[in-house]
Amino acid sequence: MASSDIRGTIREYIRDRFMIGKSSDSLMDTDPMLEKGILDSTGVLELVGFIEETFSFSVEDEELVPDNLGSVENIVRYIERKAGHGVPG
Amino acid sequence: MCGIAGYVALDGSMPPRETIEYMLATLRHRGPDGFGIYYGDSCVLGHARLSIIDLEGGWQPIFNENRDVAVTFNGEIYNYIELRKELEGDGHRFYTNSDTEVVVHAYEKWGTACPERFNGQFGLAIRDDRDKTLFLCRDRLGVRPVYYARAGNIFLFASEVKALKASGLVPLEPSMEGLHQIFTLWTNVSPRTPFHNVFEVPPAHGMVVSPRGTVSNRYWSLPIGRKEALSHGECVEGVKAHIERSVRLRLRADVPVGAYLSGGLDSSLTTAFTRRCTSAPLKTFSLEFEDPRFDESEYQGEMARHLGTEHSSIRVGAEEIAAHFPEAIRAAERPLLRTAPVPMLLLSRLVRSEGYKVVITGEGADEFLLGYDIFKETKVREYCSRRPESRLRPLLLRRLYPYLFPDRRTARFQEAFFLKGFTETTDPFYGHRLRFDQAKRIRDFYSREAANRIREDPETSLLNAMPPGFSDLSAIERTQVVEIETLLSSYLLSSQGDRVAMANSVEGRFVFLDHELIEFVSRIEPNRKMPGLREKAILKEIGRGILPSRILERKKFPYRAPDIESFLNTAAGRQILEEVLEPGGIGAFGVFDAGKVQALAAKVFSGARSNRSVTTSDNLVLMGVLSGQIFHKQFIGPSAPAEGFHPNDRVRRIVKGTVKGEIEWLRAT
Repeated sequence: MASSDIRGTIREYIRDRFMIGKSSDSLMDTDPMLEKGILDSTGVLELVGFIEETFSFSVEDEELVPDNLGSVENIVRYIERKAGHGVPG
Repeated sequence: MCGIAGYVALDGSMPPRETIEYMLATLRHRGPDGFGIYYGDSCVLGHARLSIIDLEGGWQPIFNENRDVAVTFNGEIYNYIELRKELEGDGHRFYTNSDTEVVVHAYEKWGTACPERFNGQFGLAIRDDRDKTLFLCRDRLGVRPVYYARAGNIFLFASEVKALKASGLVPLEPSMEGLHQIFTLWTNVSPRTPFHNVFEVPPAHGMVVSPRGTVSNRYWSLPIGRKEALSHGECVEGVKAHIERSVRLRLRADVPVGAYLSGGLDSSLTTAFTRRCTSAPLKTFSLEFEDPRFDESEYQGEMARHLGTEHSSIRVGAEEIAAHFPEAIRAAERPLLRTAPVPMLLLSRLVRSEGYKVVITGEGADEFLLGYDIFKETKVREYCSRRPESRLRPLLLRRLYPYLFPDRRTARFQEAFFLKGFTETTDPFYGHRLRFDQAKRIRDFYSREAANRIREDPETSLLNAMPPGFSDLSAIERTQVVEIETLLSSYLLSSQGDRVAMANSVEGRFVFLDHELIEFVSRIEPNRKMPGLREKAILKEIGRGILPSRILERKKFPYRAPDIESFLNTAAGRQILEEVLEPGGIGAFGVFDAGKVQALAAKVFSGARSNRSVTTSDNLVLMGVLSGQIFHKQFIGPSAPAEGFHPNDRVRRIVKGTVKGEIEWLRAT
């Protein structure tokens, strides 16, 4: 999956699951989602489940940190690192 | 314990004579033992009675010697015996043995400063014919309610909003400002309520109403800021002596007194002291939960055996919580972001069914002696703020707060959540910031029209209501004051206290809310109350040798009940959700956007089908919408015509200017 597709997939998922009632342009890719009240710890587990299913790899416990999953930008970079470009999505 | 209601004409004519009957009849649950009405000059005072002290003589309203001062009173003045002696010494003559009669004479002697002399929990109204004023007043912490409204030239008051509505003069309208406060702070800032045209007398306030206007006065403030260098031993001995004195005062009643036993430290202590102070057999009552995450029955049983009490309990499950939630909102008269008041409603029903009217209970210790997690959390966040770059300091959150980190995988996210804004230590609401921000998610679901109606910022209103000196306090003390001034008074003692107990005619008596005890503990340094992260250290010391070590050593277990899960996972709950979330009803209330609510509900319902847990913010939003919609259905708009008295009610009417023989008794034969 190309980088822009990963970004689109993640943005769409976050919009549909965690931003009901909010306007989707209120989230910049670099915004910290925890501080903006979009993600909480239950939400993070949901997000991890989605990433594992969609991108076919498992998220290790020690990877479950805001530096990897705290913003759209961080998530995209993390997925790219884990899966490498062109991994089937 | 009782209900009060009445009105004065500020100028011009009075409402029809039967108006007071409709008002009092809606307060029947607060006082089913009889109704008393006084028809004065341009004034009517009413009373629904639950007889606890002076069972035959304590009919109200009660008068002074000249019958130009009359009182209708809800609550207890625990030091009435001492006050009566003092007032009799001054030549006042009493015609009953009740605590209420002390109120009129105290008012004659000290005027509107009389509440400063009372040790108790009360909401009262005094008519003074000498200067044509009405004096309304509430106890220091706001245990007992008094609401008021204005309808043209008529000023009305009552223990509950539903009585104002039953007058036919106060059509209830929702207040977007009031609702917005609840959806941000979990409750209202006095005097605001969720109704546009109804206000409450704030705790510790007296209010004089006359044709010349309305003057409100605070007669007591939380003693904050003044600390004394008391040793640990002095603190322990002092608090212990105050608890004993407070319990003795609270056992003054002409009916048997029971006790709530949660299995935690506070109610175990109050029950143990109650046991010591009375030779009568003691009855204890507990709540058990089907869901083991919330259940404390093991500890309750242990305490009951330890103290040799006669113990009764009720086991509550999700189905009952959902089914009785509308009833709890009917009692609380405001939307509820939690279901926790429901089990308390069911517990008071148990108490009543076993023939008890009065229970000793342990609320207040967590606030005044630093028991809640929020105080530890504030301390840790502030500690982290002193070395923001430290990786080790945040580990304290995990180690000392383990149940907040149930899933090892998300620990780093939990940590990050608790450290949000942790360097902003001058934020007046530093300790509550995370909770207030979390509740803000509800705003995303307001309809555009509702959002446009908001003019006030709830945090500004709250800040304005804080006592003088608030901003100079340490972060932990500010957190404590906010907790006491908002959640204790307006939520814990109201929605989860007075309302759900009085719905079943049960009076709670709060050992830790004795104002002399509060004044003493307020002088103690926070570090004595919570050295390190050891909560309620003073109470634990008092409990040593009195309570079993398992009770003393157990970790603080917050009282909670399952919220939205109760509705998602039960037939009764799903039925309520379906009814409440249909777009027509949401549109009629107008506060929420039906489309957004439907989208969230669809997400949460599908998650529930695949056993996914509901996120904290989704839970909060759905609880807000659900309880807001139920609130709307129950209080706003047309309702069934108000009911009057029943044929077999005991009613005593007194008309001003008539002689004693003209007191009219109504009773079915």
